[in-house]
Amino acid sequence: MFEDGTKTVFAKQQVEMEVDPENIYDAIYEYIEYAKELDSRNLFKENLVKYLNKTDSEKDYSTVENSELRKEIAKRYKATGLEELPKSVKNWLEGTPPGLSRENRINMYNFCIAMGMNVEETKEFFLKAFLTIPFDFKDIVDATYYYGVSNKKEYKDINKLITEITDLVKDKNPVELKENKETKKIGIDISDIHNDDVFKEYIIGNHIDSEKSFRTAKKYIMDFLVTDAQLAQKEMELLEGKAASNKFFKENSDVVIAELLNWIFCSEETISLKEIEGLPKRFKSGFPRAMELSEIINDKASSDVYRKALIVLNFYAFFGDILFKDHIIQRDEEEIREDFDDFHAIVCKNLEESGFVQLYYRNPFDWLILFCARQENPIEVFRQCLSGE
Amino acid sequence: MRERLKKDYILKESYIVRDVIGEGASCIAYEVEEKKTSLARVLKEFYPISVLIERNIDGSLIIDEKQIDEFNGKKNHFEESIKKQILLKKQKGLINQTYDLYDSFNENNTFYVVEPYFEGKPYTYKDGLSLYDRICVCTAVAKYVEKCHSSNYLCLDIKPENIFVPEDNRENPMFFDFDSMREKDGISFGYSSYTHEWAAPEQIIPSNFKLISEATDVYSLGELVFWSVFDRHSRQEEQRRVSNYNFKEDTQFYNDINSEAEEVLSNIFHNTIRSSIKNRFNSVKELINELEKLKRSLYPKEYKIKNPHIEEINYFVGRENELEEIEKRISENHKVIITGIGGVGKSHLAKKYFNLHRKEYKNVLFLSFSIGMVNTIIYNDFISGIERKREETDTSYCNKKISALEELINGNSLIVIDNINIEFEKIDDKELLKRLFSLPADFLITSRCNQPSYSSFQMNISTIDIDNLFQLYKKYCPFSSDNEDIYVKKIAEMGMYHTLFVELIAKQAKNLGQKPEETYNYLKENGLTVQHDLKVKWELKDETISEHFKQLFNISNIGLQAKLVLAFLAFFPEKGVRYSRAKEIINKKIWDSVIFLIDNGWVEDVLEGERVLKIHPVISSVIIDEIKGNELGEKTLNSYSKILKKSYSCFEEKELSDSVAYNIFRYDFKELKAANYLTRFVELSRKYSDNILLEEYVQRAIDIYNQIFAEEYAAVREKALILSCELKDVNNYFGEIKNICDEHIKISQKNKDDYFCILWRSLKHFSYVEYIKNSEDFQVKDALDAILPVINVNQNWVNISAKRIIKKDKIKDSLKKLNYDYLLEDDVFFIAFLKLAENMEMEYEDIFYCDYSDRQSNIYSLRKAISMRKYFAKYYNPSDFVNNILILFDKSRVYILSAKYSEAIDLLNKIIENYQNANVLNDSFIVKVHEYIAECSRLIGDYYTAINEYKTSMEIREELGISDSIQCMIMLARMYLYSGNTNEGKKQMHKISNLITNDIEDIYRAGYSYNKALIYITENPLEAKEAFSEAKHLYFGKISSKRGHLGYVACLKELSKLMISEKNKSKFINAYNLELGRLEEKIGKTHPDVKRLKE
Repeated sequence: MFEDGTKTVFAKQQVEMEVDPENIYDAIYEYIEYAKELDSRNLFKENLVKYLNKTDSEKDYSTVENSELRKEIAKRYKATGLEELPKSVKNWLEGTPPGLSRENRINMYNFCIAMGMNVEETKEFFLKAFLTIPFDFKDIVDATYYYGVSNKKEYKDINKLITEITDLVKDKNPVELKENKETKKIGIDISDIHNDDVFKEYIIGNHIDSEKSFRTAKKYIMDFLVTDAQLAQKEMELLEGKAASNKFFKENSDVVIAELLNWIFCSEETISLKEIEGLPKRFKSGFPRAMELSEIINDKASSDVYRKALIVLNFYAFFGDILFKDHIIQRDEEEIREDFDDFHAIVCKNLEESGFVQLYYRNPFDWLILFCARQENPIEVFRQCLSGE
Repeated sequence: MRERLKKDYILKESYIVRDVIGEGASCIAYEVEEKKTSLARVLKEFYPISVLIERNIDGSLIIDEKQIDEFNGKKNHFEESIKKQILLKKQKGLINQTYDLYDSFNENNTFYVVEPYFEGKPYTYKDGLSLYDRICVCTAVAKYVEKCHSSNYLCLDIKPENIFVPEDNRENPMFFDFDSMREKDGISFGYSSYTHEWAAPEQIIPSNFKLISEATDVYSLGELVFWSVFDRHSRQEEQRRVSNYNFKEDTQFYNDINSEAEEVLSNIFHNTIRSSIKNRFNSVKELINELEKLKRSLYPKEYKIKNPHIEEINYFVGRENELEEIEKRISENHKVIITGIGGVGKSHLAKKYFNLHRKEYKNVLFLSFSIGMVNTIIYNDFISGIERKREETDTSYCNKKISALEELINGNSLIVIDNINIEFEKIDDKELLKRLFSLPADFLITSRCNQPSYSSFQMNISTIDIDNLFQLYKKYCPFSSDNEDIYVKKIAEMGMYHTLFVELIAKQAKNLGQKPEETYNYLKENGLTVQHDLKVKWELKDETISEHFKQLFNISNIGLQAKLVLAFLAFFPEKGVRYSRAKEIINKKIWDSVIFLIDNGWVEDVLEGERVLKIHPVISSVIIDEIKGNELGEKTLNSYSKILKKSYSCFEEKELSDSVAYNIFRYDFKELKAANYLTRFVELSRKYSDNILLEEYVQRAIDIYNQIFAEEYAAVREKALILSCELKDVNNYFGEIKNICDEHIKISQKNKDDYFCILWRSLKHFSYVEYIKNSEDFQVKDALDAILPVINVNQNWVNISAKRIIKKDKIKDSLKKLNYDYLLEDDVFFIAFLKLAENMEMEYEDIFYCDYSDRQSNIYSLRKAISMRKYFAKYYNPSDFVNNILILFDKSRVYILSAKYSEAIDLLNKIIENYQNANVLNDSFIVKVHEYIAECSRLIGDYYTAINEYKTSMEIREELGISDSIQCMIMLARMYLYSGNTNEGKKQMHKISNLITNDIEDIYRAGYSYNKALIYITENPLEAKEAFSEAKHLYFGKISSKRGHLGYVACLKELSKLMISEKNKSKFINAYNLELGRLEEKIGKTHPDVKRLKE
């Protein structure tokens, strides 16, 4: 894939920086400031300039005004046969983080096509500028864009293909993909296909409904909720020194989500993230609270919500399992590093399996989670970050 | 949608489609029947899923025109993966674990591969397998993966579906996925196929592809073990550093998993199924070690501890307080080290305690310390069911025993180690002692030495009090008058109340019929004095006591012969030698002396597990010290030198030679004989022993030689120096070895010792080859270039050996001047030269079963060799013995290659004649000549000659101490069976049966089963059928070798005769005909074995 750039390496180093456990709470303020700094970066613009400089050696775009950049993009849109420059692209340029709606995703692909990016460049731009996973091959739109870009098809042909396939799919019963058919494997197969008819036939048999596209993530989240509730119960007992009343499960063993999240985030009283001025915006938006979880349960959540819920619940499940034994476990440096590496790898795996972009050090949300995971008591540090103290 | 081939469709006019077995991304697998043989095979049809393909009515594939290039590209990749499979098949150790490629062909516009069909199931069907069997499968898979890694491949799709477990050979699962294998270096970019449930995270996360490495396979292997134990996949919470596993409830095997197995399994999971590769085992090797450990703890125990019977001395007196003290300390600390001067009664006390308390323990062990801990473990017989394998090293055998002990000792055990007369910290392999100490057992140790690092466990014992000494004396030598008490007291004082001393005096007094007064006066007259100062330091006391024993040895009534025997016995291992064995090695004529020495207390005849003859360490040390440097010492060394050469045929005598060498070294003998002994000992034992003392021994020998031959050249010293170089690790010391070689090449040249000049040159060149062998860019050509000079420079030496034959005595004299000493006995020239020659020879199989197509070129190269040798012979010496026999040998091989076996036999017999005429001793070469004659005789059907020749070769092997040839023994048995002498055949088979273990090569096991079948064939056809089937299976594994193929065909033939149903009969006949054809292509239709098969 893509090598880490110097900025990513720097962000990574910040996570790895040794923090004196005695002064951890003093350090947190400083580190949240760093996360905010990451948040304030216009990754879209940064990466756009980088791309333009790379592909157009005649001009240095680093010092160019936004208006001029906008003109350049518009020019390329026109040349590609795309309609007018969408408003969202203008907003991205001004610093609005790209939203993750379906329409936006199409905008992103169109933008990449307009800029003349090939498959690899598109992938990199998605990961680093849009902070989202490129080419979800199980999705008809994504897969068709992938097929189109790989085979250097024109924008209108790609659109035509999408329409044709969508029409064909409408008349058929939805195909149940085998559980173990990996998204990546479909990608490999598609990259071997160079014929529209073959592609159509293949993708009809190898896609899943967009509505169902978060089902892996949802399954993970539901499992983590149960695990987390058990761990929270255990933690409460450890802290209170006796068998605590069952606070996190209802009679029918349903997890009481609001109680649970409240415990995970502060272990004491309810907090309102909005009130906490100190946290980065990209950290707060879509942060999994009771409302967001209810959206997930009702299949109405955005991918950002799914992703954050998946990470946070996994975080508590992972470190809770390690820390809450007969007493709260203390770990040495070697053990902290070992656990951090495992956590990083397993979260990336879960994200990949759920179709999300992996942990990225320059994403302020990811950065803060990783920072906490690298501390001796990750859960406490996480709570401290949230408390804004 | 793929269109499969229809049932009964015929391919290549040979294979009839029966069923579809499975489908993958690149191909469809069918079960087909081979028309010729009616045998089932697996046929794979290349049919990629991503290409638009239709099938014609005639079965051929129509590929979409636009995708033809893509199809062909993928087809090439598929063919590549088949090549990979063939390549892996050739890797040592993978032969039995990868499929044979049976056939491959192009048809229907695509590519087909045919593989054998095995009875068995993929590992997905593991339900009937025990946990032990499952772990065996996992271990075999891990070993396979390790081999792939060392061949630079990663497997990347390890899963039960890709592992095939043959019905009758679970320890050798086979693999049939080669598509996902990748070269290690080509992995960083791009996709590799995997199966989600078995894949490590880095296979799933694109940005982590670059991390894919050996550790990726380690993850899948760990998951395979987990799945084997719990019948499900691991969950995320089971993949952490602190994960706990419920072995009591989560697995059906809860009864099989003991606490040790739990620990090993947890360790395996904690180091394999971890998300981060950094947290996994670095290599599969580490996992294999753990799996082996697991297998041991799961395996139903076959070995057990032998609780020995330890006889106490007849008259044990006193020591009640000490016994109480030991009991108290053991209950508190589990460890007591009894210290005290030699002969004071430590061992007797330990034995007493052992016998008093043995019933309280489940396991009791009584070990006698012997040189180091490795020797102590290997030479004490405390465990049954573990046998030392042929040519197994000391360390390996020791580890096996100690590992078994670790499994068997689980509390409630007493381990006595007697006579560790060295400071524990100074024991070379002291970590083994620590390993023993870590066992959950009580320990009682006796030692003459102070043990500062274990001082809290130490319990020093002193002499017994005078009343008890009275009792002791009286029991050994009863006296009636109370007046005599005073003299017993004086004797005791004289011996500083030393128990052994008083015991020895009492025994001798009884034998001489002396009263205490007479005894006392006799001792006094002979210079023994009473020691009044009882508070002397114990080291000094030890010295004084030794002096007393020396005097006693010199003044007692032991005759010269008995002294000689005593000197001989003094070199015995401290734990003694089996009584019956001692009787064999001590001349019958002087056995009376042994009895005399036993009666007089110098030698002990005791029951310690078994009846042994031993000598108290204090006495042996006094005697060895006393005989050092005098005639007695020399005679003793002479006796031992004689038995040394044969000692390695018997493990027990190896222990004896070990002890002799150690004593020579320890007591600092300085004679030439001592140096010779040490050198020969090192040469003989280095094959088996990793003993670090060997280097010291050979260095001591060199020191002695330096003393004796200060300014003089000595071949014996050169020999020791060569050995010393050979013991060094060539990787670390190559520079040093090379310098020594260069220096000594000059020295030997200067002294006109061509033989050693050659040996030094050989050492230099072979060390170089050994050294470069480990380098990355090693090539065989380099090795040949390095060895060639050695081969070329042997001209001088050939010359010398020729002269030696002609003027034997004269040359011997000149060699004596070069101080060849004992080396002259060993007929060094021929052994060494023939060893060199062996390197150039063709393999046995290449001669007798030469590939038909290679026959002419082999004959040509042999003829060329003959003419070269003739040239050399003419040039140097036309009557050169060595050249002549080699020419004869080469010629005979030309005849064998030309299938003229009788002519070959004539020439081979001439070689034997030449040896006899020239009065040359038998050597390994002559063994080979006899075996060649036997094989030729067998081929022409002269079984009687074959029998005689095989027997002779085995006799010579025994005479020379060369290990038995299993092949030779199997063939001898077969010749008996072929010639109708079933009884002798059975006897011979009985002899072989002990050697047939799972560790020996399959080809021998196959030969053995084949013989078994021949025995049964008339008596019990059902058993014969089974034995032939077993042989067939084993031969099949070796089908790539000509002998293996031949055996396989022979089994098919016999089985076809034994089948009852016509269908089976014809199935085997078809298979036989087919394989016979292939065999004919390999070794020719005229080969006698082929002809015999057709009869």
